[in-house]
Amino acid sequence: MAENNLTFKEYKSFVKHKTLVISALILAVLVMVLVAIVTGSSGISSIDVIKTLFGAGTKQSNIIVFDMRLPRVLTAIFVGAALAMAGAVMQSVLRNPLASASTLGVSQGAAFGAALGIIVFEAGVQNSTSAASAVVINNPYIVTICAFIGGSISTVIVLLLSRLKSLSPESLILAGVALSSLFSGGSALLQYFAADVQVAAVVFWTFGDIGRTSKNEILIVALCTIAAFIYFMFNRWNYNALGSGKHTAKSLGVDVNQTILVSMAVCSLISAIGVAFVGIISFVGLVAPHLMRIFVGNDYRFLIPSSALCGALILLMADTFGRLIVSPVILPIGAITSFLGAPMFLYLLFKGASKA
Amino acid sequence: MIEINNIEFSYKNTKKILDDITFDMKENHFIAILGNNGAGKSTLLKCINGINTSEKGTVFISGKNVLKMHNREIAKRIAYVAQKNEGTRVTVFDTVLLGRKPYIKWDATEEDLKLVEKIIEQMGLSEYKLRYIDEISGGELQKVMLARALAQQPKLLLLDEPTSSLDPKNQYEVLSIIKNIAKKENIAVIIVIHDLNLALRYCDRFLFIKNEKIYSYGDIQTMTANCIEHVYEMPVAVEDFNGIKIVIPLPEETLVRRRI
Repeated sequence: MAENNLTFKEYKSFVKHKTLVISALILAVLVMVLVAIVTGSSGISSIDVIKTLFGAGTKQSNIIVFDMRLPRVLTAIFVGAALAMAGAVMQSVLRNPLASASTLGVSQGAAFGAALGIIVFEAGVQNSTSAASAVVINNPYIVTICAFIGGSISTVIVLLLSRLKSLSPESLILAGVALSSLFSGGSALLQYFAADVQVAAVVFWTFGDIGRTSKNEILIVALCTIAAFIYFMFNRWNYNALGSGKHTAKSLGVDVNQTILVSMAVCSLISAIGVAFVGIISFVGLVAPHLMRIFVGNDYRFLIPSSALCGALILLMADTFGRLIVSPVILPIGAITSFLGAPMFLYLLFKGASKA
Repeated sequence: MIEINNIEFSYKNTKKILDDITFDMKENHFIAILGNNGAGKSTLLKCINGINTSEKGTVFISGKNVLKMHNREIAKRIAYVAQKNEGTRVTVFDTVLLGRKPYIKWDATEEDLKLVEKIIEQMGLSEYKLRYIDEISGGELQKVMLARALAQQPKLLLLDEPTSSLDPKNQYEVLSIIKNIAKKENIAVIIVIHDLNLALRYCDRFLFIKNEKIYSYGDIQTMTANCIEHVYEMPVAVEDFNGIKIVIPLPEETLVRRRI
């Protein structure tokens, strides 16, 4: 019995190690939030920023902190978390380590949908006075819905392909490449027929920039991300069971089809919302979960929260980096995450992509 | 009593793979399903726990038709170990804990953890319990999968060729462990197996499938040279070796000679 208790403790301390990883990530995100709010090209001092945060700022510092930097930070946190969680869950339900919103063409589908919303349904207008907010979305709901529909089309095609023909992980990603080209082509056509100002607006918008979200949009992103997180956590045991294959998962009581369909729908929704408001941000959904697997393994009880935090951290870092490197010019965040993610993607491909 | 009635199955637009499979077994029976490759043995296992849908089929355990139940309820009664298992980056302990999935509401309880601990010990996996399953050997992985199935505390255990990837020593070891635990916990076992001698050694009922139907079903008396030759279409001798029945495959020409 004594020995029994001992082994028990071993497992518990093992699990504790994983919760420590999550705690460390929370701490890292908090530190990074502070760094992101404090740094910038405006010349406002760190002490003034902290004063402002506690309500003792000047009119100017209030604008810089609350209207410019804090929205960026919040957007980075929620969009990063959403993309990373979506990546982790897609990799589980499709049993494909290379799956993510950007590699399956979901992001490009959503981008096409959003562009359609902006140009055809005139849900966005170009604001030529400020480069940082070149596109102002005046109807976030239409853009979201259009992006979701676009992203869903990719999702449905990916699901059908993975079901009708049992494609290898690599082939499914090739199908994703084809879908991406198709939607990019669609977006190009839209631009071709659009007015010059709209073209400029869409091109700038597709770079991936987190500095243009309004408070209303941040609220939409935040609510959807939190709701998705709760749904994913409810299904964490199902994702773990799916790791042993569909048949085994079913024999463990998982409603396999429903789990796959609803999870993919939720993934494409949160990815689409991210794309609709900030443009395409590639590879976060791929890098964050794979990085976290090194620390917590493939256990979705820990992989979902840690991926979300890691995604938030990556976007925060990428954005802060993008603001600092050639300050005062702000580099598009999508470009920075691609520089980070593309090598990772290649590494996974060459490694033979161990099981998700 | 476990009653399996009228299982039939065909994939879309193809001919029937199983037709009118009906048999029953007691709670402590250990049944071997025998037959050629492609005879539908694995398909039958998957029909019994509802992975494959057999429209007319029923599976009664303690008087209740399991196939009408929700997946989670089926999983509390029937556990299944697939033929091929892949290791992912999850520990042995967490894999076995998955067997508690049908019972877990939000998170695993202390009782779940204790039961998993006990089963890991029974299966002799204690020293591996915090190793990732993509790092252990095929034999150990098979034991982990069995441990996961036992953690479901099933009334019926379905095993699809659990020993096919194991060396002889591990084959005997794994089957002995299953047999002992099944006996102790009163679990009925249905096992798809190719090795007739292993089947003879550990199973007490034998069900032969040929041409989509049950060819014969019964106790050790069913295992005659005649029956095996008809099902597998190869000549064999069934001999008694110190009180143990053994099957010896014979050269092909024996059958030809006999036909003449």
